[in-house]
Amino acid sequence: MICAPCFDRLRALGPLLLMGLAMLAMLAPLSHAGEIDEPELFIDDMWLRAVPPVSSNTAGYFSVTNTSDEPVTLLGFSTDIAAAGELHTMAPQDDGTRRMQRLRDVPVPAGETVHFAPGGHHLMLFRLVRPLEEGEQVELCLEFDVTAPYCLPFEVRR
Amino acid sequence: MKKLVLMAVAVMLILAAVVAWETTREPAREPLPVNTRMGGDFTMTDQQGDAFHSDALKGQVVLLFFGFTHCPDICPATMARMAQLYKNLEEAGHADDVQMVFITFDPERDTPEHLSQYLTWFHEDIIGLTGSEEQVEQVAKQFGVVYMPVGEDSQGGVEFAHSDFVYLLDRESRVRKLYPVDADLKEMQDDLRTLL
Repeated sequence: MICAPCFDRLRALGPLLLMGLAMLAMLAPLSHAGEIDEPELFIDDMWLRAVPPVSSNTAGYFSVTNTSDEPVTLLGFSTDIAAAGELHTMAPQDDGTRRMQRLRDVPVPAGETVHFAPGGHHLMLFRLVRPLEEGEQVELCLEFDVTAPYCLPFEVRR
Repeated sequence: MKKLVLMAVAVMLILAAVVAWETTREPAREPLPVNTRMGGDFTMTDQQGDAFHSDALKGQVVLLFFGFTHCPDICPATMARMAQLYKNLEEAGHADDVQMVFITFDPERDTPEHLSQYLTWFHEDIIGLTGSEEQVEQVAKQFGVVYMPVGEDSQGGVEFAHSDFVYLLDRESRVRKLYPVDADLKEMQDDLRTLL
C-alpha cells in the first residue's frame, strides 16, 4: 500500500528520477569492467605476462580500436610497477630469426584496430619494482597524441 | 527356423559393430619422419650446476627449446605453453616418459642458479642447460638454431635475435618434428603420444 502524500512526492520527483536514470545510462559504458568507450578509442583485452620472480622485465598486451575519423598515435605508456616502459615489436629478420625492436610510436589509423599480442607489438616493462602476482590488476596509462592518458587495469596472466 | 533367425540377428549385430568401429576409430597416423640433419650428442651444465650429457635423455621423448631468460615476450610465452602441455600430459597419465629441456644461449646471465629459479616457477621437472660459450655454440649448431647478440636495449641489457622452434625428439634422441612457438598444443600432444 502507498500512502497518498508519498505517491504525490514520488510523482513530483518523477522528472528528477528520469534525469538520474538518463545520466546513469550515459555513464554505463565507462563502468564496464576492463574497457573504456570514449568518443575515439576503444581499448580492450589488457593484460601483463606473469613472469618468475627472478625476472625483472615483462611485457604487456592489449588492443586499441580507433573509432574516429582521424588517425591517432600511441606515444608510450607509464606505470608505477616498472622503472621504465617502452613500445616494442618482434621484427622478423631476413635470416629467419626475430628480433625485438623499440618503436618510437605506433599509429592507430582511423577506423582500424591495432593489436599488441605475443610475438608482435608489446609494451615492454623494464625493472619491475616487485614480482607480479598472477590475477592481480596493475594500472598502466597509455599515452596518445590527441587525448588525455588512458589509465586502465591490466590483468596479470600466464 | 528359430536358429536361423538368431544366426541372422547375430550376423547383423557383428556387421553393425564392424561398421561402427571402422567409421569411428581414428585413422592410423603416419610415423613422424626422422630429421637426420639435426641433433647429436652434447655436454652442458644443468641447473644444479652438474655436468649433463645428452645420453641422460635417451629413453625419453623430449621437447627441446632454446632461449634466454631475460627475453620478455617469446621465451616466457613458450615456457608457459610448454608447462601447460606438461600439465595436460600429466592429467592424461602420459607425462612419465616425457622430458622438457630449456637450453640458454645467454650463459653469461643464465647461470645454473638463475636457470633453476626461472624454470621451477614454470614447472619443477623442466631441465635447464647452460654452459661455456663454445658448448652453447656447438649444441645450437647441431640443432640449426640461429642466435646472435644484437647489442643492448635502452636499459643496458643484451638483446638477441634468434630462431624460436620447439624440437620434438624421440626415445633415441632423434629429431622428429619442429614446431613454431604458437603451435597447437593438441597437435603436439598427439605427436608425443605416437612416440611413447
